[in-house]
Amino acid sequence: MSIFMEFSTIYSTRSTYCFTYLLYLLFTTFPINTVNAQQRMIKGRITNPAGEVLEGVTVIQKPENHTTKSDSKGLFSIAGGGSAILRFTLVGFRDQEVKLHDKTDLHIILEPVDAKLDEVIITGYRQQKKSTYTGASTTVAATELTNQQGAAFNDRLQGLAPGLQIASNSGIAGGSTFVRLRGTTSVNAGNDPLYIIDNVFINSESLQGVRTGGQSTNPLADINPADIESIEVLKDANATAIYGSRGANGVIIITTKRGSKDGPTRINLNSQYGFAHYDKLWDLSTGPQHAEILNEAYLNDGGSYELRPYRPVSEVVNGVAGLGNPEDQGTYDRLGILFRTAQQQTHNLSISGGNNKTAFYIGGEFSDQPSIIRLQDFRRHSYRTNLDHKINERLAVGISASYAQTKRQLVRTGDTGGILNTGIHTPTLTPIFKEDGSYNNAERFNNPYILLENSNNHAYGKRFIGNFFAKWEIIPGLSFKTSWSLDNNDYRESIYYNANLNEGKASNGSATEGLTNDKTWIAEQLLNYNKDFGENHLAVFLGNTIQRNDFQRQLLTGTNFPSIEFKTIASAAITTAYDTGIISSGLLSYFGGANYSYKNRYNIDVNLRADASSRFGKQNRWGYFPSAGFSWRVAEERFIRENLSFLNELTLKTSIGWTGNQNINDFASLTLWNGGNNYLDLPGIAPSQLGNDRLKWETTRQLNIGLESSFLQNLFSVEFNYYSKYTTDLLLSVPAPAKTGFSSTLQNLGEMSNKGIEFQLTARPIKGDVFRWTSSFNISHNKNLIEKLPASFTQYNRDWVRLQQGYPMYSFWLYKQLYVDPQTGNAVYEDVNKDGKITADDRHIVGNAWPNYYGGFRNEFSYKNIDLNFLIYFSQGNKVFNMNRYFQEHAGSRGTSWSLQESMMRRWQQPGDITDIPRVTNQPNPDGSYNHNFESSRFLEDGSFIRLRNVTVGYTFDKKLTERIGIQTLRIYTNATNLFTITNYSGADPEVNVAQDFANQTVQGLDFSIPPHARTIEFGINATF
Amino acid sequence: MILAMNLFLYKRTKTFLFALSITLLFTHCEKDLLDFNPTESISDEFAIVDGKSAETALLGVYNKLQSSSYYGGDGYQAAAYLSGGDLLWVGTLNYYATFINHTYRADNRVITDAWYAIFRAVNGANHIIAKVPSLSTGITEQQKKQLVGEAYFLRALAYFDLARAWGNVPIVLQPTNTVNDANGIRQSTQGLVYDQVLADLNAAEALLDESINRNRATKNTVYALKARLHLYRKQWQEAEDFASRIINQSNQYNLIDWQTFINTKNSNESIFELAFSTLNTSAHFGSWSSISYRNQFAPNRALYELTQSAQTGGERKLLISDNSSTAIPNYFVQHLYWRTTNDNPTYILRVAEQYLIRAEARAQLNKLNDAIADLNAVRTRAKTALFQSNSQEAILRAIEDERRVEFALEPHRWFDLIRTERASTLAGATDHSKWIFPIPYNDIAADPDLVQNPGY
Repeated sequence: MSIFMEFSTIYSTRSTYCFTYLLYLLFTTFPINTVNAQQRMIKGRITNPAGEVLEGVTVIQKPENHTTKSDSKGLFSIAGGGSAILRFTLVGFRDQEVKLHDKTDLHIILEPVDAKLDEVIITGYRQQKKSTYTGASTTVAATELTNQQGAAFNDRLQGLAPGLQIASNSGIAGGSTFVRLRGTTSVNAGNDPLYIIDNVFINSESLQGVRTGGQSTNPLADINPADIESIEVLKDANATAIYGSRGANGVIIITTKRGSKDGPTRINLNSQYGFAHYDKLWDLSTGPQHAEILNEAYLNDGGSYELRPYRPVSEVVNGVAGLGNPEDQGTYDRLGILFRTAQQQTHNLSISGGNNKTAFYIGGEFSDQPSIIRLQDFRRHSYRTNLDHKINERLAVGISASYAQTKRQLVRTGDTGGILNTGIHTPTLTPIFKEDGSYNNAERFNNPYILLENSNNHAYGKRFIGNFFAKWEIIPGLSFKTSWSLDNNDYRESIYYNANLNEGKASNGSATEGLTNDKTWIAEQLLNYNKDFGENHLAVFLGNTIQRNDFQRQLLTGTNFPSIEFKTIASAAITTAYDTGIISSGLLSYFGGANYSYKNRYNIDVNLRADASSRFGKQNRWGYFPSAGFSWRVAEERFIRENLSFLNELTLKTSIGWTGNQNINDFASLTLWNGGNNYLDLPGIAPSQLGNDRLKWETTRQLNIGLESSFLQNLFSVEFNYYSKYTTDLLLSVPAPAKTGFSSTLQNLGEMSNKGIEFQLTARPIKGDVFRWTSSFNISHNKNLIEKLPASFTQYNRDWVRLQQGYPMYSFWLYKQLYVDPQTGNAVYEDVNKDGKITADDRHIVGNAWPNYYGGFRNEFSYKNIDLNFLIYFSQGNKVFNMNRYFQEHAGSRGTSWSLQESMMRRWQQPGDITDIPRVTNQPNPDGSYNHNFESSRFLEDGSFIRLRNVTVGYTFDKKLTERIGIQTLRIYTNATNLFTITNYSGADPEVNVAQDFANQTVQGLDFSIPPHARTIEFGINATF
Repeated sequence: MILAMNLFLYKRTKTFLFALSITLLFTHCEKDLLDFNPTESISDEFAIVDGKSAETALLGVYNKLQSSSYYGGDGYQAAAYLSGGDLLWVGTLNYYATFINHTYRADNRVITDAWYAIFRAVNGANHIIAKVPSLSTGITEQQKKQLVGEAYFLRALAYFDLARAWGNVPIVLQPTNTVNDANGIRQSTQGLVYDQVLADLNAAEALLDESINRNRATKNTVYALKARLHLYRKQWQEAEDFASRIINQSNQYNLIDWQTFINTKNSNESIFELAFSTLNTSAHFGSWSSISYRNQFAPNRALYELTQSAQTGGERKLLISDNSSTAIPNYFVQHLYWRTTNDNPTYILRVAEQYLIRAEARAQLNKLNDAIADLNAVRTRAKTALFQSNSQEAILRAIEDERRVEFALEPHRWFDLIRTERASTLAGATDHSKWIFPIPYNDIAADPDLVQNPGY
């Protein structure tokens, strides 16, 4: 009931009326039912065609709707009689209805069907069988997820669902993940799919308020993947349009585990313990190589041989001694100090069960996942309670509630104070210790030991996600469901850079405490009507949701500490505070839809949603999102059955619909002035935002054409989808002319398209009882294109990435290096306008971060008690900008303040050398370009890779053996991730990206000081009591 | 009642009423759900409504001057420091390096950010100039004159800085209310922009008092900027006159010793000193190299030696120290912006400049002895030997050299070398098209009225 309490605070006093009115409606309308006593008991036995008994078949008696399940001997008994009808349903088998005609003893034989088509999927606001579904979606079951690695469930989806492109940005547990479902439809209004857990629309944007240099956290890591029963990925417009303004980027619906009614109480314990280590790191030059390059640069830039910096110490010129010959220089490795073998563990305990009225699931988890790089730890405690209760035959209530606490230790990775700048970018030439044994801290980046000893950066998350629902079957076929949800997310950051660290040096210690709270309330009311008329089936639904989000952030900073011993802001000489106040937004929605199905063969869907968002100007507040779909189960036609009997299923489907996106800043439509523009410590205000009262939804139209088939006794099943998405009125932060005094304004400008195909083939080559093999392969292709953009503009602080009409997003804007002139050793760049000079006009788009295709190949084997499965993930054609190399092939221009890559050793040295690394020099070339420190396409590399994501081997002990010690099932297993990666990429890991601190990731495929993905080996035990 | 309601709703034919009730229910709530106001910001119509709010809006313009991309210690100043040829780039961001050998391109981030930052100050001033004169409540006439006068000065300074750096810039004199407001405004030539600067300075001069406030614009600040404007425009007599108006107020504006000047905020040396505080910090200390950390730029050996020599530097040796080691050669550290608490002021207009403006103007007017007297005033303060010569050319060269060391850590050298057309000889900028910066590539893409400067 705590959710109700929370809800009562949603509305101001004026509207408490709304709330009480609703409660009144709810609690005055519970029907009171009595069971009809004039009935006999019907008994029966259920088997498959081979005569094997079937356990767990749901038996429903109509019209009274009594329900039971068959036991382990396939037996059932249920009250019924006369002209009653029994309906038998079991996943994987065709439904059967039997008219009793006074029979009391039955033998029911259920025919197996293609399991996938009979799965019940949750599409929008109704549940339906996959066979009657006209849209495109993919279901990922718990068994597929548990073997995968990743603190957050979305990391684990990689390679499992066609059309879903997933790349965790780094190897840090709980770090951000790039998720795109069927491409990118937006630039500035967010591209994350909508995540819904047990009816709760959850926040998926990082609440980090303090930058941590190139990485951000993933709020979905607050959710324990072990609690998940299944994940439904909704892709096409017919599935997503019912989410209207939230649906343009696809919808991912997560269902958590629930207790089963009338089942025994089960206790499940799953413990795993493992080790993580790096697979590959960076190839840095040695100290002698670094010195050699510096000498060469000195000479090439006109220095005299006598004055070369690395000459014998004895060669004193003008009173300055040499630094020693290159070969006398030491090589000092920092990576070995900063990387570690991390010991990771996760323990899950769950209890589930139920009787005929109540079912429950209670789960608890502890997970400790330190990263392979030091100072990066992730720890999570989570609890879940899912409860279902039938008050009577018509009224059921339930809750789904989870609470999680996370604790992170963080460190900057890729900037001045970054741990990987210390590790990768400090020259190996520079000693770590001074001659007197103290730490050498005269480096550009922190000394590794100083960093390890002084870093103090933690973040604590607390998250409650709760849902209460009540479902009332008003009359058979007509039900009403009310659902109330809350996602309350607290995030506290506590950071102290003391004066020993580079970040704290200038300010004599700098500390920040940040508190962020993000709350979303949702109330949802839904009417569902299902009716069979002979061979016609009609399903209608009508609903309403209200959503409100409140966001608040407070930051407190202190600088100038008396000494490093003082760590709290109270002791800082200068303190400042920042408070956003509560920023609220609301969304009001009405929606409805109908599904008509004839003979379970022809299906038509229509949906409509209307949304009103507080984020838009009043005149454009409402948006309307319709969709429609059609599917035809061809294989059910008699001419196919008779002539093409090898076909078990063949379904053709198509859908079209419109979805929206409103994920922009609140108040983006208003012209605003901000405070805090102070002078002389007096308050000052300044224009902060140029309003646009015509701001409206970004709209995406999507067409889907799909085919699903299974054949040869379900030996193979295939699924193929083609989609075409077209987004108009892009919510775009458009550069304003500088003379206006603003750098950008938010406008509905530009159009973008995504077209793609998805293919999945599943084979079950061996289906025996002793040996089984299932194999699944999926591959996807997406082509993104900015169709219309009046003016092109750059993203990211170094302008590497540019949005330009006729090119896809994530395009790199660079000077294209054609070759290195074998005679001069200078890099030759493409002179686009042929003016003999290399100017900004010659900079153009030379590639993008999109893969041509990506996918997964998954195999499951079981032989007697042994099971084995593995997943290979691949991505082909994506470009990665290797920013580490950009810095590290500096050819001496950054002297001893920056490390060199070993690739410098294949530089041009004498006429005739054929190489891609030009002559070392700091001087500009005659055409105005530079060989080094230049935005050259040389650093844009092919980031294609094939990776063995996961291998799991398990052994399940004989039940007879374990039952003696009271254990139902006992399985031990070992699990390895990232055992091999095949790639031409020269960095440590092709699957990396500089995560921006904002949700709008407009940059992809940028590698700068990012920890690579770990190779992990885990051992686990799973016991059910 | 409950039972009746129950039965009523339980009837199949009436179920639609239930749905209807729910729909109606939430229609009631629409206002609470969809109408929110920002808590951090205010709408434009409430921004400037009386004297108090107009004052905050004016302080906001000074705040725009403080942008690190403008006068806050990096950006515009960095571009000038580095182009002047006396600095080393020792940082991570290669676009700083291009200033040293004048190979900056239109995609240079420093240039782009400075350009946008200055126009932000212009827009702030335009709001004051357009709105304050018509305010009717809560403001006195005197207050109006003060606020509008300061805004005119700030706009003049912004356009002066735009004109000397980019040459051809669009002149926008109205506040921006929609993104299309300035459509059609094309660039004016440098001369026309300077004319606008003078017009604004004249307006400011008429409105402001001749009071002393070293952190905000007064009539004296206007005189000092006018002296510099006329010097840039080679209007020697006017330059001499306006510089004299400052120099003559010797009880308020005089040359104090270097140690005191470096250590004291708002000393008598300052005419316009952009103030920073520990709550409102400057980027200056951080963007230069310090003893503990090498950031983007640092003085080079030549400048270091110039300041250390008793002949040329004198007391100005305090400005730079040598922190080099065998491991890091050429590691020089500046000490003008020395406060680690980052409340270092930016010296925009100061007395020594007025002396050197007047010296140069007088030399050009052939008042050689007066010119030498002004030059020697600066040299005396630095405790370097007095300069003597009868040659106009030698005196002008001596003033040029004096400015180099006197403003070793202030952004004058580059603009001086361009206005005297000596940048190719002394800063190696042989390509004259590089004497003005490129119009940012991104702004040309955003603004169809803009034309790129020749040579880019």
